[in-house]
Amino acid sequence: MYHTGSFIRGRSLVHRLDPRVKLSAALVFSIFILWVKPSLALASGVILLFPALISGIRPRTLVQAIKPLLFLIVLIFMVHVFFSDGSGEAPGGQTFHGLSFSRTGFQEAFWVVWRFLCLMVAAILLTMTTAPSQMIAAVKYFLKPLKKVRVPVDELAVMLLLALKLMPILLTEKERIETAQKARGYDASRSGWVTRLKSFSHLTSKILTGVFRRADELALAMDARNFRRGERSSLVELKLTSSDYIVMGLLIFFFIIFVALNSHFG
Amino acid sequence: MVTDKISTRGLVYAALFGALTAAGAFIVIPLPPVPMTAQTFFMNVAALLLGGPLGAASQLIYVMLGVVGMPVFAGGKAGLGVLFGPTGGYLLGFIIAAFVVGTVNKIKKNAGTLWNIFSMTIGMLIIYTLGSLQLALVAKMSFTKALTVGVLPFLPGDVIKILLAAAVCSRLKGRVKV
Repeated sequence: MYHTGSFIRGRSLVHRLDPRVKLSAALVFSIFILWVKPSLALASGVILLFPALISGIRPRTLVQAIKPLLFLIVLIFMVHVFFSDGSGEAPGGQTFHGLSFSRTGFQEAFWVVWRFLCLMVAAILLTMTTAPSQMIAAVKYFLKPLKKVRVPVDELAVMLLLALKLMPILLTEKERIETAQKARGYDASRSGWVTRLKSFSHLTSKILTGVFRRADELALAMDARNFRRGERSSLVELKLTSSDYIVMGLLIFFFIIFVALNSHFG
Repeated sequence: MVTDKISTRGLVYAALFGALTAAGAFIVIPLPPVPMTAQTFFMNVAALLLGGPLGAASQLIYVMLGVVGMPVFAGGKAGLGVLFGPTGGYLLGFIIAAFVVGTVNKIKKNAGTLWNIFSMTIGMLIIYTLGSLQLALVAKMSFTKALTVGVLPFLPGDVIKILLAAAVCSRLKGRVKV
């Protein structure tokens, strides 16, 4: 349950690429796909299939990762079909109960959903092929310039690592307390919702007091080991290899062609 | 965000609340008719207990956890695309709202429950505004439409979450010293 859309170990070319290349590619792609004309959005989506294929991630896994979004996708589609602003309304457009159907509405809805899907697939591919520690190293690299304006980038990276380790601990803690409550005869489904809310607030207060104690201990332990601020070394050393340069070159090539095509069609 | 010296304890607590907000994606508040996740609840608790800058840091950590690939955004989503997608504005809203809630709350010394609720309401408004703006922009709807889709369904739940946060904070008051 906690693993949809998270990292899957692998040795494909996409896995071995430098996280900085992947992150910036995904970033550029996500801005790009929202900005280009429909026909090029279609083409970009098709190009996205290449990394998807060579990443060695099964299509079924991808579909499963998108599944939780299905509701939102349907919602967006509906909004566009039913509430199309009707600018340039075709004569064939029909209305009933104040709702308007139109071909433009359908088209618009299709393209919005298509772009949205492309965004999601790109993001999922990125996170499925990049280990969190690699990703943190990449994020830290890109945030480095912010040090000039005194944003504590190194501290943020440490916090991010801490949070990454804390999350599963918190979830087990929650499950532990819930089991304890059940063992003492608490049955959520049999009580009214005011009682349920009350017990929720009790539960969270308990979890929080517990984890606050842990946090105090952790801070003390860090201070005791002379934790200091600023630049720190990392297990993950980022280094661009020849395949990184080739991929970067390809991406820039496609990018320029698409930008040119986009302005040409306009 | 620009803090010269964060205490180690503050650093750990911000990380902790980032993780809590993230874990909030899996903690369901039992509400009729739709149970909802505990994320804005933890955002508010973080802002009230940690104050503005550290509260904002904790939410930044939460968003970065998602960017880095943990499925912690609403609906089990993860990744950078979400930030630029229709619901990204809400996430940006989390960071700014946490800062504002924490700062507004600190204006009054020994803030009571009413003041807590007031500052959290301001935070909610910020999240709604930013969220709807991006929703309107990305999903290409009008702002009013975005409000109907992106705010109205969540309004009752958020009111209850604010009340819950106020209850929990008054219970934990004075427990956190950063």
